[in-house]
Amino acid sequence: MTFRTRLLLLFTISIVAVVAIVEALVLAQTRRAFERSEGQRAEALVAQFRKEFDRRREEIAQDVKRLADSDAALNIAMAPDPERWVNDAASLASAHGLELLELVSGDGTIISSAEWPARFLYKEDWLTPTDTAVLRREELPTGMTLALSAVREVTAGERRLYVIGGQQLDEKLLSTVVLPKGMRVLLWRDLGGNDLPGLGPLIERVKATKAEQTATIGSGAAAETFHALPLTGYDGSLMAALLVGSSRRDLVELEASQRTVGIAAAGLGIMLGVGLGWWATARVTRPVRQLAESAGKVAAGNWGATVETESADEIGQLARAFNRMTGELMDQRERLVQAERVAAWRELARRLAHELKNPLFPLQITVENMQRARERYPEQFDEVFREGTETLLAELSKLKQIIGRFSDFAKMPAPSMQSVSVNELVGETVRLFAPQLEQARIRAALEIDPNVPPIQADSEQLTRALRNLVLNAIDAMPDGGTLTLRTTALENGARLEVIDTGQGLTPEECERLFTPYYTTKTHGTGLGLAIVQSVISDHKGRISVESAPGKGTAFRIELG
Amino acid sequence: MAWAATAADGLNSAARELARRTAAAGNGLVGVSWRNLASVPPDAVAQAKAIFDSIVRTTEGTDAQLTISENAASGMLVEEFRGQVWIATFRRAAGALPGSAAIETRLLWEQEEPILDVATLDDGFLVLTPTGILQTSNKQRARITPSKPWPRDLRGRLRVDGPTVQVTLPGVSCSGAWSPEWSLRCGPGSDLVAGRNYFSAKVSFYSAATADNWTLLALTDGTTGIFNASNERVGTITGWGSDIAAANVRCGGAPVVLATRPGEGRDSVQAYAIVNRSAKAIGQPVEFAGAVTALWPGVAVVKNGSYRAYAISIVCGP
Amino acid sequence: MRFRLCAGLSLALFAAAATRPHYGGTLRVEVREAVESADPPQTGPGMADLNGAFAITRWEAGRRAVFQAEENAPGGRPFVDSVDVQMGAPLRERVIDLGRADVVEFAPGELRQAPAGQRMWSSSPVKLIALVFGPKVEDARVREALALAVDRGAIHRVLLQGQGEIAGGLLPQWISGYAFLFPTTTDMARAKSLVAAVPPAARAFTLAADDRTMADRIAVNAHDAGLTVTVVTGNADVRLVRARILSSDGPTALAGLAATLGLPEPARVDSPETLYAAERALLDGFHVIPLAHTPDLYAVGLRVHGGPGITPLGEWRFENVWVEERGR
Repeated sequence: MTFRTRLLLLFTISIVAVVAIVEALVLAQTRRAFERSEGQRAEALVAQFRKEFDRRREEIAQDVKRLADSDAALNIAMAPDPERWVNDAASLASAHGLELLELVSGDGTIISSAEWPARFLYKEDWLTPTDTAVLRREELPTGMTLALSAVREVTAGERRLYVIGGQQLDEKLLSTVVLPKGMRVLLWRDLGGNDLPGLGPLIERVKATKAEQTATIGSGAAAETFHALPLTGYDGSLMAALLVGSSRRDLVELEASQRTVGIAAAGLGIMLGVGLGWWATARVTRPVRQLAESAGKVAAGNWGATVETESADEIGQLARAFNRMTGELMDQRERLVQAERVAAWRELARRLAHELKNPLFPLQITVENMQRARERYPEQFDEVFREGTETLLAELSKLKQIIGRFSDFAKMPAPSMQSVSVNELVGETVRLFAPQLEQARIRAALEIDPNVPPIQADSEQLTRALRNLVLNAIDAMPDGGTLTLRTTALENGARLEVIDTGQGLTPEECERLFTPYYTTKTHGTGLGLAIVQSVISDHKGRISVESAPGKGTAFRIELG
Repeated sequence: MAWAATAADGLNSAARELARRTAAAGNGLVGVSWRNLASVPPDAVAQAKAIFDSIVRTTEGTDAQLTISENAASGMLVEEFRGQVWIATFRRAAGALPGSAAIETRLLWEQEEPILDVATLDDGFLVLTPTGILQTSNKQRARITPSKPWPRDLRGRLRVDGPTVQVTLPGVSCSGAWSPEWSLRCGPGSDLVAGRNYFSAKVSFYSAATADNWTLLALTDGTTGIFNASNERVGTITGWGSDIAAANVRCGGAPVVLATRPGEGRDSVQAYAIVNRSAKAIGQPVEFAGAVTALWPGVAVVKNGSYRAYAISIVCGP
Repeated sequence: MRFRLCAGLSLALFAAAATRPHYGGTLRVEVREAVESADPPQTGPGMADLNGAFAITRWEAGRRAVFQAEENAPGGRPFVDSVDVQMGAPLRERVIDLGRADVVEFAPGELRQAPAGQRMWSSSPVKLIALVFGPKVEDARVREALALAVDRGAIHRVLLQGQGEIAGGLLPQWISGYAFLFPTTTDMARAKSLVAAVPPAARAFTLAADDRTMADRIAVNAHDAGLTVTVVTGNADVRLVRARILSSDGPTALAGLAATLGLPEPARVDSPETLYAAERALLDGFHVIPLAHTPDLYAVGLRVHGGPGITPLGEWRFENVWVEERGR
């Protein structure tokens, strides 16, 4: 990842992060405000319900008290024959505005029941007088229900009568509650079976704790927050619960719009960030990139690469330092090249002097012999003259060879690139040297990679280099051995290896191997590997050697 | 009067017949229980039992349940013996449908203070009043002072057995002796409900009369219920007043009960024969000049300004 | 305690209470059932019994019938000139007060509406109230469970106001003399165990009755035993019926009841034991569950004398009844 990209990302992430944090804060505030408002509304509704509930309880208690204080109740209490009153509860209930009414004798026997007339003489076990109406379960012919009931005792001498009157607790009670928009009220009654799907877990919590509970049911715009108010019976057990639900649609929609705005802001921020970042990073990274490019050029060999800068900041300082560095490098390279030239000339002069000195000495001796012979032994002069001229011509021929090689080395042309098949080249070389190899008792092993692609090369120069290597290998195996020629396809070219099983080279010899005139052989000019190196270098390739004494030598050429 | 001999003979014959069948069917000791659902007097029942036991080796038990029952036409002795049912009928007492009776009254005592009950002594009477017991022969009084005021329509019962006396008043019971000196101890608790004018047992009633195995109760609902020995209600008599009393006499073989008639104003007392769980008026009622404020076996108290206590008795006609 | 006088009557009435019978006047009778037939009934207790001593002079089906005394009636002319029968009056209109009627029929359950201490004519228990099963309830255990579950005592005490008697058999005690042999007590434990052995689908059935309260009470008792009884009108699996006993002779009464209740003709009877066996056989299988025997009940006004005007079988005998004229 480039520095610029990193900078861009950093910018963008920073902006997005800020937007996200702000968005989250706003959402949280909104939610808190909504929930506060919703809580207040729910409390108001609960208070309304409680008021109505308490009013009903009082009303029922008053109705029951009025009935208990009436002459009718007293007559029934005094009557020793309760059987005659079996039908009276219904009319008394109607007259006193009660939905449910039971008249029960002192021993708990039902005398008359308005809600279930057939239950006369059954036992009623809840006979504790109450000041106000309480919640209890009531069995009706149609099933169980919940009722707000009050109990009053009527005494007439030793006789007692219990008046148990009340009203059913059902949805009618809820109709008195005024509901704001988005809110609803439900009544759960513990009569077995949960007829409020979705609210089961909340109801279970209320059952377990007998305290007010709150929960959000559903998701998205359909979500509702429910407040559950427990309603306990006369025995303290939970009998019902009032559930006040507030729709969260408004909050959800508000949050959705806020989220949309946030996303839009983030998007804008990203674009802004990208734009700003691009501009900013460009200002920062451009000089860095230029620096990097220049460094790359330097690495590639263009030591004269410089960076243009006008800024006075650190990047400018760096650029100027870079320029100074490349300038130094150039100077040093100039000097080095100069020195290398001088060294090479010196080396070449030395080598030439060395090479030339050898044939020149016998030349001088021969001429001196011929002079001596003319002067001292004129009768032997013809003989001496003939031998001496033969020696002179031989040495002159060597001189010509030496000078010829130098000339060849000096006037090696630039390679003429064309598509060359390395495998074919290897094959031809092996065929060319086959007799020689056989004679030298050297086995040629070919490991040809068929996937080696054609490369751009000068076929003639490459052939020459390969022949030099093969000749060196043959020279390295005087007692025979194996010459392995291996081609390998590379990603962008080919590798060619020439491996012998000769005596190997020491590390020092490996270092100096490609130096002109360096040779380990007793014959030769020592230019062969230098020529190979020069060819490979002209082809922009690499050549390396791997060897160890007694382990043979491997020359590796990579071209592409 | 003893139950008609023919009827008793009939029951005995029935007992004999069933005993023979039982002896033939049962081996050894037979557990036997008896119950009387009919208007058969106890001595007749005992006789029948004795005859049965003389034929069958019996002990207390439930192998055989013998029930004296009756329908409109006849009496029957029903035996449930080890899942079998045997029935032997017998003719009911001839003349069980009663003929006539006359009520005789004799003035015993009169006073202004309310009379609750009167008991006859050799020389004079003991008169139960709201304030205590008056001994008419020597004008001595045994004071009874209640802790609370007496209820309206005060009622009281006086029983004398030799020198001992027992008094029942609402919420108060007294016992003691009138001879040689008065000694009376009173305490709370009574068959008469405190502060009220009725008795209370399993049901509330104003007065009661026994008729053989049945108990008639003038209930506070205005009806008179007939209850058997197991305290189950087996019949209802309507049209009687709240005061009934056993006459301790039998006319036509049936027990006689006296009853006032319902309504206000002047009262009368009618004699009824109790037959087959229904009441048949016998004879003419005796009319009084005022309201009957108390009717106990042998005594009627009438208020017409002052209070008058009468001895009341029945004479059976042909 | 004394009972209140009916309004409007003077004390002088009592002074004349023990006089000789008076000729004249109209006996005003109110009955519950409205006889809708085009002609007056000729059989059964009630108006048909007036024939001979009285002759019908006016017949308004379902509403009113007027009978005039026959001068040449067997045993002498009846005391009253006429009998005016109002039919089908609802309870609230059947009142003795205000002198509107002299004899008012009450059902046992209606007795609580009658003033306390009211004079009554009562027959012997002549009407059988029973549950009659149709063919749909095939499982005898269900029928037996219902028989064990129904609380006859509560029905008798409350709904029948203690009138009549609880019934375990078809014939009342006053006819058979052995009615006590038929069990009447509830045994809820056994009822429940019988129901538990019955497949759930067989535990539910319908009950039709003209007395809704009694049917509801039976349904409640059945529910306690595990049976589901739904009270309906019209056709039902079980019917609550009232069957009248028309004879005080045991075998005749039994045969009549068997015919009315759809039971087989009873076996020949020649003794109380065989009568019992025949009745027992009819009740085997619990196709009929007797509940109670109730009497005919009439509240009788103060101006009516010479009664009771009904026989133990509930037959009308008004020829010896006489009425006080107003103001006399």
